[in-house]
Amino acid sequence: MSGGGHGAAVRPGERVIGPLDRLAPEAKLAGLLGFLLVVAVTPPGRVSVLIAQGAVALTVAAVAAVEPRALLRRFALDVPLLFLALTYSVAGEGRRTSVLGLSLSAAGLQVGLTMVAKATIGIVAVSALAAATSIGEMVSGLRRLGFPRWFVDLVGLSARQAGVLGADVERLRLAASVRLGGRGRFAEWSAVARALGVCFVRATERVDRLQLAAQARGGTTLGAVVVAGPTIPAATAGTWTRAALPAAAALATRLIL
Amino acid sequence: MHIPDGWVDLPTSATAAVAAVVAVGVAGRRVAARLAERATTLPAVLAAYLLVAQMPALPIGVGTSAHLIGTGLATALVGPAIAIVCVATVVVVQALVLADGGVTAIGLNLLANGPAPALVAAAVLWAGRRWAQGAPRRVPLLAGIAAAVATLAAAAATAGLLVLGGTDVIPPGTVAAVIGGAHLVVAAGEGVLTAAVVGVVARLRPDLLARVAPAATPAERVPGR
Repeated sequence: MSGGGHGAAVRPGERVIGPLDRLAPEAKLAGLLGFLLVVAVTPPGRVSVLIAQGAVALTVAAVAAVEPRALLRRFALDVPLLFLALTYSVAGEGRRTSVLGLSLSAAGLQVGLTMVAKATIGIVAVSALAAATSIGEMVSGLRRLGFPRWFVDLVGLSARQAGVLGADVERLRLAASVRLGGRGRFAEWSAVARALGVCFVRATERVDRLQLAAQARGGTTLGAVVVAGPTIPAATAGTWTRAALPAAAALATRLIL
Repeated sequence: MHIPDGWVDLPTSATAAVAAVVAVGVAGRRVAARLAERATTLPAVLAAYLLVAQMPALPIGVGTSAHLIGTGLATALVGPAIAIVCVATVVVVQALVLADGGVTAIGLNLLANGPAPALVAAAVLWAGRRWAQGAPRRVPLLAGIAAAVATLAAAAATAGLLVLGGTDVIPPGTVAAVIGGAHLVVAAGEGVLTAAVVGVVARLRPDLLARVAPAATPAERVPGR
């Protein structure tokens, strides 16, 4: 989060501070939820509405400077959904239609494709939020939206610990697979199992270390464990309005198109 | 599989969200009572562990790969209450940070991947506790079976929610058959991997496995305590 640096090349992984980053996180979270709710109730088969809502999501993602490559990687999450959409198309009831020589259910195809479109819009929209919001900001946003403190603390602490444990598991897996030698499926599974087993034991040791650190800071209460990052001032009326723009745009496309 | 945005209608999603809040609230109270000052650190680190445990992709053949889901593993290692709280954390982080699973579907995914598989896994572990007692080799096996059954429970819950709040252009049986069938392979993989991980933990720190093998240590023990 080294701000400034305008015009300079952005290193991979570095955060670009854009207009979306400066919005209060609670407004962004509520705006995202509102947008996705509007998208969710779009009836199946309203292709032009879905395309327009997709364009809204992509615009927000562009403002948030989402890396296109990261977005493409996340679209892999759509793959199992495509299979399910295919099932809907093949096994759906009602009138049949012919696509590329396959006899498909018209309604099933429509519902399946609509669902995949909505899931994809969701991925783009969440990517925009995630790119423009640090974990600390996300946590303070959830707290300001009234989520219970103990749960918000869990989310914040675990998101940060995941980075530490993730690097650890990757190292352990590499070490185990080198020692196990073989390239087969069995060797790969054994390596992952060994890495995860060792990582669990280390995780329990991490709990002790974190607990010690919390006690050293002078508190054993939940709040003492998680220290939020730099805070963004709470949302004002103007912030809420700006954060509601994508949802409003999505609603407008539904009413106009 | 996580349910994305826009697949299940809003009344079902909202009802699931309320049920999820209740379930996590109950589990949270139990965790707070049992872990006292560790009620944040232990579940948080374990939730991070579950997030990480889902990352390594494992080959299962025909060009596809699977990854660990972990609710069964967590239940075997720390019990259903902590497991439910951990999975809730994981589902929220996945939905808001990793774009995996819908934001409007958080309640659905939480129910299907938290309470449903955790309670089923706990029931299997409870039913098999005598069988595993005093037989260290059976402990990982029992955890593996519990994890496999838990995965099927999660798949059944997901299919059930998709049918309840989904479209009616397709017969419910077909949705259940497709999701259930796909998860048979996943469940088998989950069982094998869970058994292997628990096996490693059993070798390194048998004391951490008090939950699956009550005979191993006298008192109920929670890691890090």
